[in-house]
Amino acid sequence: MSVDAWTALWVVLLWGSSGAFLLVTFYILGGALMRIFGKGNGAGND
Amino acid sequence: MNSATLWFLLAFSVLYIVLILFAHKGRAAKGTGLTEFFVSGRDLGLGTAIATLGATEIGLITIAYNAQKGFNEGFSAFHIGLAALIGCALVGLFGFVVKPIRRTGVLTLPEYYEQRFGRDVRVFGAIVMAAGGILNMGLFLKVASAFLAAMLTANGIALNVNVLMVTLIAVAVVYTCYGGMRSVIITDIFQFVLLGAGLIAAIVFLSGIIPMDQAIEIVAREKGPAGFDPLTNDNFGPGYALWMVLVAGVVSAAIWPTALSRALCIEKEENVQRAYLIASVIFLSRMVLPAFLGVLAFCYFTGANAALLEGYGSDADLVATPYMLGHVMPGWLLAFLAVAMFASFMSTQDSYLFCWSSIIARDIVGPLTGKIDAERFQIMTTRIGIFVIALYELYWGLIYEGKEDIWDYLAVSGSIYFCSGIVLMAGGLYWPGATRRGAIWALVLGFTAVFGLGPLKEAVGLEGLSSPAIGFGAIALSVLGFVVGSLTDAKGRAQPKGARS
Repeated sequence: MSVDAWTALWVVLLWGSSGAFLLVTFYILGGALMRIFGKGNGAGND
Repeated sequence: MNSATLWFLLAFSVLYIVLILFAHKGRAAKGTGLTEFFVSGRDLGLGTAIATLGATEIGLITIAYNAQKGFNEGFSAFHIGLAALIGCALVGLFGFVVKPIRRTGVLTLPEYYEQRFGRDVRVFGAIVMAAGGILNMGLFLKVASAFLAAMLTANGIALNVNVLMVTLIAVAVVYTCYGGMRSVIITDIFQFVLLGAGLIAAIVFLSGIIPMDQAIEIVAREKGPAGFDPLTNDNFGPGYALWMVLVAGVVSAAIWPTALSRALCIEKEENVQRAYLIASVIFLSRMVLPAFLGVLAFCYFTGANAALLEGYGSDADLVATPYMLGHVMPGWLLAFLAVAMFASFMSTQDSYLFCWSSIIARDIVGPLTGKIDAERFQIMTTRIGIFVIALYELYWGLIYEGKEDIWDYLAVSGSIYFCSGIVLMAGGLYWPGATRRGAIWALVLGFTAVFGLGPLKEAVGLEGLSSPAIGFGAIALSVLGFVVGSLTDAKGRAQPKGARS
């Protein structure tokens, strides 16, 4: 693989992992808040 | 002294403690008994399982060692995250080890050794497991303290590293002794969210100061192709990348007790694989995001700012990232990040202290004293174990002087357990012909991984061999011992499994 191809891979991986990490964080936060405020079981207790 | 940052730090710390207490309200132990204390009543849902798995595996140590790798090796350090993603996703897809181990109904992993191979293997395996694990966490406290101290010192808040170490460990011990696994898991959810917000905020803020194009240009100029291509980088290469798929992916997810014990806590068996599949994204992020902070720190200290690191000597690569964070971030954001880092330290520390002490109590002291099912004795021994391991951590943080990067120290010290652990777990679960003799031989031969540690490697003249080579060699020896030992143990193979304990 060329250096340019490696660079492109790392850039995609960086922003992809940031976005995915944020999504998982929101999923967990949403589940926890739903449990705390009693709106169903939420993600934390499904 | 930067008083504004200090006030923000105080305010965020108080808020953090209040929220932790609020999260515990009404969610403390739902019952009593060993199942409640050791596997949180085995009632975890999917979201909680992912959060606790993620929070345990993203500690301040994780951020520190990946930032160090990014600082030293540039973007090519990202391959460790890719390897972790592949390894963990494979575990999630196929349920390797995690699915069958959940089905066994054990409370700790060595307990499975007894189910499969006999009580003596349980005790021996637990000793190897605890030795590797405790050695592995030996640098957590030292690195966490150095990281936090560098971050705050750069912003004008002077902190003594040793005082910080004692404070951090004292808080961790009190809090971990409090409520067993349920307490660990409740706080993990909160800590994961806080850490996620802190990491993303730091990256967004820093990307405004050092844009991606500029970072790529500086790394290309200073490190050349090795800063991007892990296969041609002298410190990595194909063997290292393969070692990472095993260590950062498969082993971290499916063999390492702090992670695997989460599988034992999940309520529904069908959620075990799902949890690991989704968590593979976290396994990627936990490596890549901090490594990117390290790359940005390298760019920041290249050129005009290089003089700022001169006083740190050989620790410059370790303190570069926190120093940069403390130097460029506004007080309120730095204070928030410091509390998020503290949360990340706690989320790993509590899990590790609890994991190793529960193995000592339940799988070493319990069988040797005949008190495996004595609830009060088990819980008390676990709490004493937490205290003793914390004291060791303080001591080891002061005396160990290895020359390897932190991540390589962690991989090698962990391999003392996992080189035989992976053989016993996978062999026991998937090979009906495995026997007690094979397990003991595998444990003994897998222990040769200890020679991958820097000071020992020098002492026995193995400097010419890389740590991955020693690790793969130890696994090969362990497999050989397991297979030959089992095949030559006709009596063991004839014995029914239930009659072995």
